[in-house]
Amino acid sequence: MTKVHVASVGAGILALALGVSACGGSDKDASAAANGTLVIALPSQPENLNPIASENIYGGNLKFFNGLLRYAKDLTAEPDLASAMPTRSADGKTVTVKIRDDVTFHDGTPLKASDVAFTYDAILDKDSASPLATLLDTLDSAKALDGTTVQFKLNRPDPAFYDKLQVGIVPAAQLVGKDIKAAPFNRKPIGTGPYVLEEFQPGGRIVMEANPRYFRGPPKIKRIVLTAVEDENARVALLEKGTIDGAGIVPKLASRVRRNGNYNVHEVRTADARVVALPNRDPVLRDPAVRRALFLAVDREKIVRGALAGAGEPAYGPIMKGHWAYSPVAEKPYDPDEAGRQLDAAGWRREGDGIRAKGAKKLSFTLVYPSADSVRKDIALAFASDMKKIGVEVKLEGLSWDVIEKRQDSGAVEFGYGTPYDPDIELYTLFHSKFATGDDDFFTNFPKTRNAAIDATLDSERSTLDRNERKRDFVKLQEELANDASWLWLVRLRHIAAISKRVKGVDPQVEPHAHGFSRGMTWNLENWTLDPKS
Amino acid sequence: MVKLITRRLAVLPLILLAVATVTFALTEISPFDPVEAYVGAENNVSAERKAEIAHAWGFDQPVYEKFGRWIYNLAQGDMGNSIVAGGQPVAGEIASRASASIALVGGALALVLAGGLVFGVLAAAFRGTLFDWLVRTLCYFNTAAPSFWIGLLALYVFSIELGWLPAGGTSDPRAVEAGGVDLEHLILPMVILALTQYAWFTLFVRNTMLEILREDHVQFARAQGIGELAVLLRYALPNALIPFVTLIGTHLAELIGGTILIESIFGWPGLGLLALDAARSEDIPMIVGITLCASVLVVLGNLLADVTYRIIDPRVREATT
Repeated sequence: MTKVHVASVGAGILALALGVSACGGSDKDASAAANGTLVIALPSQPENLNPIASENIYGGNLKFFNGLLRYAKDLTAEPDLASAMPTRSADGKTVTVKIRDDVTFHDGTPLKASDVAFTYDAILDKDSASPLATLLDTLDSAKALDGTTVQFKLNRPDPAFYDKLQVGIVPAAQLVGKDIKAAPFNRKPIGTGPYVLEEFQPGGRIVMEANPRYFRGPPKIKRIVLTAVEDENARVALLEKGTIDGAGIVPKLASRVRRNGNYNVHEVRTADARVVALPNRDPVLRDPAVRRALFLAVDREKIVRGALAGAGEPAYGPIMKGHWAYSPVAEKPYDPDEAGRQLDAAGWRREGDGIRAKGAKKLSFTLVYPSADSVRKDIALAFASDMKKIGVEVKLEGLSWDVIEKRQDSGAVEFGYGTPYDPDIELYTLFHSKFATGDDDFFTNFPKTRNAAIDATLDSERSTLDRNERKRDFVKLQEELANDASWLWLVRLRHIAAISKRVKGVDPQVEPHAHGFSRGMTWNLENWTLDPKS
Repeated sequence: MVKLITRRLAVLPLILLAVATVTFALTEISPFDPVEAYVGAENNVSAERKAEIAHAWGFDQPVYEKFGRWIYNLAQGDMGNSIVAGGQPVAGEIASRASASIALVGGALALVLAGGLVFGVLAAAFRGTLFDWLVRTLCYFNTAAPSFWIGLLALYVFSIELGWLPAGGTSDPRAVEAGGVDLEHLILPMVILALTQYAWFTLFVRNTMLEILREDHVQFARAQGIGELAVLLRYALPNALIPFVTLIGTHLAELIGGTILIESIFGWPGLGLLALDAARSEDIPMIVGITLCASVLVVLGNLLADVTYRIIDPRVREATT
């Protein structure tokens, strides 16, 4: 063997490496196109772009699709593909929707009522394995009466049904007779939306181009690139370098981006609450008197100032302040002395080490939070320090969801929940005892609350379409929840996004906990404009 | 030689079957819940609907049934469909992500080879000097420091603080061309991956060289008045190929395994990141698919190493015939 051979092996491997890497040269045209491009970083790339297979009704819609209805800026429902607001039958069990006749899918085929019926039926079909099926539990069937009329048959009157008429509508011709969970469509979506999919690089970027025949007129920004950047510090570094034009950022890094000067930092009010769920079967937390005392001992203002760097507000219950169903009944001021007196009265006395005990039992529990989330960690730390002040020991553990799920009956968990839409969508599954049965209800009724009064208000609020009656039920619900205190609300976040000053027209909408591109910050993306680079 | 190759290739399917069996068994005891991964955390999906989803995807079948169905489909050339790939076929997703990983592993191999040869040979030539000491100390430090730590440190220093290199991804997201692999983006992850193998390889090259420099034929060449540089290049360097063959043969698996960490640190959309996503979602077809591809590479690397040993080292040839 001679050195020539050694060199050629090395050169071969180098060529292999460089051969793949030889691209990325740009000419004048390319730089002009790049100038009209808006690059937004998401924490992760969506795996599936089909609304039927998406995790929630808000998440899966990357501006490729429209629903029958959409939320206006103030979150009232308004027609999107529908030509007018739906009508309900007298018994509330039939909902009829007329759709527009001037809409075409990205492939040029016209939108028909049968596409709408197909989309909803596909979600109900067990073989599609749609995560949205629970949300549409009240729907029995969807039927096209003619080319522009769809009729939904419900199994009970559903006051929140209009909120569920926002699923992105897919073209039936693309998916009929196919196995939807494995369809190529899931990565080559064809919708009616303002943007058309141009490129899907698995694990890398998603490129969207403006839809020239969008029924509300083509969007102003011609090209939008979504790239996945998991690390929160890396997202800020990419903003500073100008590699990306917009990204969600954590509160702690907001001031750094503000100093940069090239970005508008938007703070969006959200329903997204951080809440400590106290399992009813934990040996210490099973006593409602203890849970109520803990509720008083949280300095919520301090968590907002500290962990959230000011980007948030105190939270006392499941419905956000300002919502039509909100009641201030649970708003009690921070009062550690009163909390201490209540614990004394319940028989928990301070011991020599400062921790309360009742007989041999110590007033001590674990609080688990998802370790990937730095904001939740900071909130958990602040919570534990507040608890220590009243003689309650909170042991913190940061774990991944898969591990946390195995611990439903002992110790508390810090969750993130909250919707600014109809409260029924989320609250029924979180608090009703129907969802405290098996082992598979970790993300529904985690504390396994079985409270007849709570069940009664929930059953009552969904039995009527009358908003005033429902409001009375929700007020009662908030009262009962404060009394039961299985859920200890801490704060509601403001979501923070930095978007280049070149972008005009950003006008954020109040956001839920889990939201996608068709909600919140980017709900009106198709109306944004982009100034050329100076 | 032909016999060796045919024999090894004949056993390959058996090895792959064994690997697949073990992988299926491991997924069975994994704590991850595929349904939860599919519907997402903090999502209100009822227990009944979760059971339906599990049934539709076949998550609820006993492991031997999953395995049997997988073997049956494989026999027809179908590796199954993957959840993390939006339900798309496993083979297609692996193929579309392979180039990013090949660039990474290929580049790292080339770097290990070049760096190890240069510094190993020089350290041997200047044995006992400050240079030799420096090379060895850095190698020991490198061995002691975990690659994810070095990777994160490098990312913070070179991308986030200094801003010299891109902070992740394979190419500039703004580029008009379809996303490929950009050299500028490749540098950091490639160097960090190379560092996982660089230390032992350099020290191995150095020791091999020192042994050879002591051998009779080298001493004889020196005695004939051939210059030190010529001795190094003509007599000693070719023997440094032996550590390189070992690198391909036994350490390729480590290099491939290393991509999982490196790709997740640098957001590199290759097979390592895909493997991690698949493992977190207990996406069995994808986990098995990637494991099998890696196994084929490792078996072929081993075979290549054995064949090369026989060619370059007469002692191995004699011992095995």
